[in-house]
Amino acid sequence: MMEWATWLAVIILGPGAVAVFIWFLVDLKRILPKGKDAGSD
Amino acid sequence: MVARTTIRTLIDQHLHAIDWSILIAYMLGMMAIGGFLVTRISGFKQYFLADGALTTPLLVCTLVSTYYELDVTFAVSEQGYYYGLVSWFWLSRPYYLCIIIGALLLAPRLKKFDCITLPDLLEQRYGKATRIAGALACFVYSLPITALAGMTIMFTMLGWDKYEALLVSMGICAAYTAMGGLWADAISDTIQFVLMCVALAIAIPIALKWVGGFESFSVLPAEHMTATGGLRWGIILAWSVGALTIFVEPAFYQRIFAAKDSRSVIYAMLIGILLWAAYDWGVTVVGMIARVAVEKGLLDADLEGKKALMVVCMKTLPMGLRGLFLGGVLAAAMSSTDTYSLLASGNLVYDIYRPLRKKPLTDQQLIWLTRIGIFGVLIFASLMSLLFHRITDAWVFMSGALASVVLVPALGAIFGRPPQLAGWLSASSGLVVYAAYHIVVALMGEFDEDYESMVLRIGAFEAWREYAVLFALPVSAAGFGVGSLLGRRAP
Repeated sequence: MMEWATWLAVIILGPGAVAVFIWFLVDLKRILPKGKDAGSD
Repeated sequence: MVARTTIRTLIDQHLHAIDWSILIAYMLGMMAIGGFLVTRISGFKQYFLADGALTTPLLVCTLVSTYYELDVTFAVSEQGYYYGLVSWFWLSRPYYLCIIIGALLLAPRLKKFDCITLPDLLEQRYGKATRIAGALACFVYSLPITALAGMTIMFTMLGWDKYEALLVSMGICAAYTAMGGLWADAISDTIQFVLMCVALAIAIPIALKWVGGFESFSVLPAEHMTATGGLRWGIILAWSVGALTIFVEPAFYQRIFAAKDSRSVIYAMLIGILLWAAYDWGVTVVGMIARVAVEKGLLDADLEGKKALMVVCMKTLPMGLRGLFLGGVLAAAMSSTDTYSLLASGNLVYDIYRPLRKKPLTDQQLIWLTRIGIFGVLIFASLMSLLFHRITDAWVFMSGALASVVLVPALGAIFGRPPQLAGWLSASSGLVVYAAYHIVVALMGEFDEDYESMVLRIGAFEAWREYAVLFALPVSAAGFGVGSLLGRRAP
């Protein structure tokens, strides 16, 4: 059990975390505040 | 013959220019984020809650990295080193259960309240006095004491001048958070999130190979491979009760209020649980690897548990990856320091000072006072961090205080319409019992060398310092019950 749990953790922390980060980058431009002059609330 | 292994010698021997470049680039990147966002902030809600626009991926990154302070990282690997898998099963696992409950039950209800902070919620239900009591407990909990203590330990282990290193990292943290508020906090958290996760993912297989794979775990004491680790159930229960703080964790509340919608929070928390569980497991395994290395003579027999993670990773990682790992560890500390210094400053300025003032504050005044407060909070917290012998002690004290004072009234406010008296009696009785228990054990108890904690022994009964919340929480619940019976119910 310990062996497979450890390799699963490695997959989640490596490729899994990178995938979430790429998702964030794709999303970022859409959600960033536009700035004072660009009419944000 | 085993060479004496200190992190200082490992740094001197193995930290190359490329490692330093990674560290410096990381620090400069954090400052750039703050500088980029400072011109885009116009109102206090935008500054403190990112205008309620956080989406799932940003929430995942900021929730995971914020929760992972250095104290959690070092404490979990320390417990893995001393006690084995119990660290994951009883220090970490209860949190996942509470997070699932929080995601499914709390988040959708909380999104319906028009609040910026948890004390806002307490005031809506119970009035200003409970708001102030709750804000004080949140302030104590949010002081980034444990994150700074973790950084101090890390810098000491690295052989760096801890005052200079702390000043630089605190200054950078305070600067980008003060400039960009929650936006800077959340976006810097994403960089920190990926650094800390990837660094650990790389370190685990390399460290495993170094000690000879999983077969080498047979040298560990048998209790290391059990779910309880041979620990007292009282200690295990006290660890587990700490997970209840999730229900009143100010950083979680802030992110729920800052989320685009409740669905984004639920998805983020459920994805986050996978990452938390993986990170906890990985750090526990590295702690156990350090113990294997000690048993096999690869590391010194007197290695302290809190250094296990750092020693193993610095010993085994190749050039370049050490800088990545150090950046990851520093990121774990900074992602919590920025969040909690913003929250603690918000507690002082928005939750306590603003309602007590007769003349209302403008948004710009709130933003600037919160910015100044961030620097004040960091200085105060760094002084407070000197008071605690172990990081775990500080964390147990702070989480216990929050749970004892805020947990019952906050849940009551979210799930019902209790009378004002219920909230006030619950918060004040929890606070009094929690403080009294600590004072009695500190004055009349003795220090137990084996468990490195204070205990008051009365006959066969042992009152450990960690049990304070186990007494205060039921009293807080009883106070809530009495107040519900005697108080006048809100229309």
